[in-house]
Amino acid sequence: MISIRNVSKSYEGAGAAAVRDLSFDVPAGEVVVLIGPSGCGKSTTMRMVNRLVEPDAGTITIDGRDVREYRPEQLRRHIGYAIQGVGLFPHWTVAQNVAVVPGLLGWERERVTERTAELLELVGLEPGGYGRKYPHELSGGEAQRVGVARALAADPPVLLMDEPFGAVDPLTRDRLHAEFRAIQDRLKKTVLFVTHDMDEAVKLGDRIVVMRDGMLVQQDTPERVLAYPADAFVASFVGAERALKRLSLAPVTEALDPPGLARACDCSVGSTASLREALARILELGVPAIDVHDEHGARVGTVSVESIVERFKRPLT
Amino acid sequence: MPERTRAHTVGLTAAILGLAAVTLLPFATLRSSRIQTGESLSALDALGPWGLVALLAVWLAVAVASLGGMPRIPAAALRGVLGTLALLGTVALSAAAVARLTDPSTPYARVSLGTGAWACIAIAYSLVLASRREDGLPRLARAILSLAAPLGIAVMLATGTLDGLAIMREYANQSDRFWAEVAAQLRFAGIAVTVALVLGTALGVLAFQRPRLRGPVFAVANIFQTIPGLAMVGLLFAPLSWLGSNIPLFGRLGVGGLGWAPVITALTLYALLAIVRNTYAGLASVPAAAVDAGLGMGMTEWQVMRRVRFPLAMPVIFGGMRTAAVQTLGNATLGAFVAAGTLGLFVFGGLSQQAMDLILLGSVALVLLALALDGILRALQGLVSPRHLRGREGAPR
Repeated sequence: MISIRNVSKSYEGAGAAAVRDLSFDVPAGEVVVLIGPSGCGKSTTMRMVNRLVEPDAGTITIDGRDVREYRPEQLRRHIGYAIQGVGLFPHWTVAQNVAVVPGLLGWERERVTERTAELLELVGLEPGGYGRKYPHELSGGEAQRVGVARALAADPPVLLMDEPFGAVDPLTRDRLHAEFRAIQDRLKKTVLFVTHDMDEAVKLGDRIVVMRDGMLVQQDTPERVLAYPADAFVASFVGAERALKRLSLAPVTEALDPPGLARACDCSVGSTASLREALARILELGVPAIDVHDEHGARVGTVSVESIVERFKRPLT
Repeated sequence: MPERTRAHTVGLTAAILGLAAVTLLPFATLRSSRIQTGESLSALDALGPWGLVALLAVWLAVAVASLGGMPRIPAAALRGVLGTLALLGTVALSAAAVARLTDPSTPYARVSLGTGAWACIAIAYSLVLASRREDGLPRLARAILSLAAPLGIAVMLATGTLDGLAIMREYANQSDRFWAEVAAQLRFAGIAVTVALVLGTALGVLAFQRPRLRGPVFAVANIFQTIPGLAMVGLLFAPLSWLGSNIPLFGRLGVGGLGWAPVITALTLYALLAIVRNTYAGLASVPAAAVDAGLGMGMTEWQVMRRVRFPLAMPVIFGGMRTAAVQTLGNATLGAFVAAGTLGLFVFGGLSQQAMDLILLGSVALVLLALALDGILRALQGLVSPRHLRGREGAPR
């Protein structure tokens, strides 16, 4: 767990403090997304965790131990780091890039080679072909996969990620998000993730911390941030379509009515679909309700516009 | 389908200038002895009708190869070959002219290349250099174009074909001293560039890491550039004389107002700016994300410098060194002013004796040395560039 307690930071020459009396936790095995507009202090906050920036006040602990007890280099070698623009070393091959931290930790060559191949495979790049490539030979999406593989190289329990999926086309981005979520569900890292994109935050975060002018404005689960924005700023930041974003977070099973009459038409969705997909199907077909099937094809209920509206009226815990 | 091009401006210009040089300028000078004012000869007089026709034909062929209509890359290669022919042809035909123009009854008579011949050589070599830079030219063709002209000259020199030319007779008179002075020239330049490289890189790193020192470091390096060479050795005279006569170690090493000390000091100071500037610029051009990633993954400042910043800055730093080396090699003629020798002796000696061939011996040797050094360093630059930059657009060639 990462604990940030009463942390403040001002930069010389800048007017207001970059971060003011900030406190929040990143529970072990969870993804906490730090979000806010440019200059709100989110990157500064992240960089204080691995001591690229030193706070003026407050403490940051990882698993109960103050980060200042470690030498900065030692600390950073045990924290995964993936950044905006990826920052791959252009003069090194993909394999060499991935092997940076294991190399710094003095792993044996064989173990490094093995680990590099394993990681490239994990992020969906064929190790034989990609290992020898240079970063300029990669597409934007491939480079970002390598960036993630590099951050995971020494199997650090904690990851810091600063907009690691920026600057790629929306399709690639969606795929990277899905893959990251799948990897995270397996590896259960403790992740502090910085972004300014609400869609990304909602998709990837177990919890969201909204920042503005160096201060914490709201921290909650994605769905609750969408449902109950703390103030007008958060409301405008999450956007006018926040109800639609919520739809994609809730599974269809949360708005099920009992199965009605059997329908003749091909109008059903799987039980793993989101409410957003269900509603899209309803609108497409122009019917008031559709069936929901489980993975064996058995009807488990129906979902309708009314049931979705009812689901949205229920208070969230 | 190979692209066909329109007229090639550089090639056409070269052809027109080449034709003009052959037809309008005096091609050679015939003198009855070393320091007599000579008689200017036209290309027809110097080369005879067939020689003239051959040379004109080569330049006309350059014009035809530049008119367009041919596929781009073969046309460039052809221009390169013709340029090489024009260069070697001018030299060889001039050498052959010596036998026609002199006879054993006039042993002191000399034939020098005239402005027309020198112009032909310069234009032809420019054409070769321009052609070999054409994008898409195969590496082998590039290498052949780079080497053919120098090799041709070397072969002619080695076989004695050129021995009759005045400049070579001057060389024969001076051959002992000539190589000693070439060695002095190279030694001074080599030592000065090495010292400047160590000092300049250190200052460049300092300027990069300590923004407050940036201004002063560049100001000092810039000031040296503004002091003319003669003034520099003049200014150094007093302090170096004092050091030499008051500090025994320096005295024993031969430090003084004259000799090697002022030359190497002056050359080092001149070479600093290019090296400091490029070291700084190279380090500053390293992508911020790469540095941030390096630090964020737990590299120490030193590791980031050694493994990320320096390798990525290397092409730019090396480029500064190349500029400094070529410039320093030329500047080393300063040695002639302070009794330290160098090829400058021939140039300044020739000027004072009005012996044109002696001047040419010094300056042609200088030009050839500088071109050779630049060529070697360019080739090396490719080798020190990180692999991802080699052979790509914007990469040093």
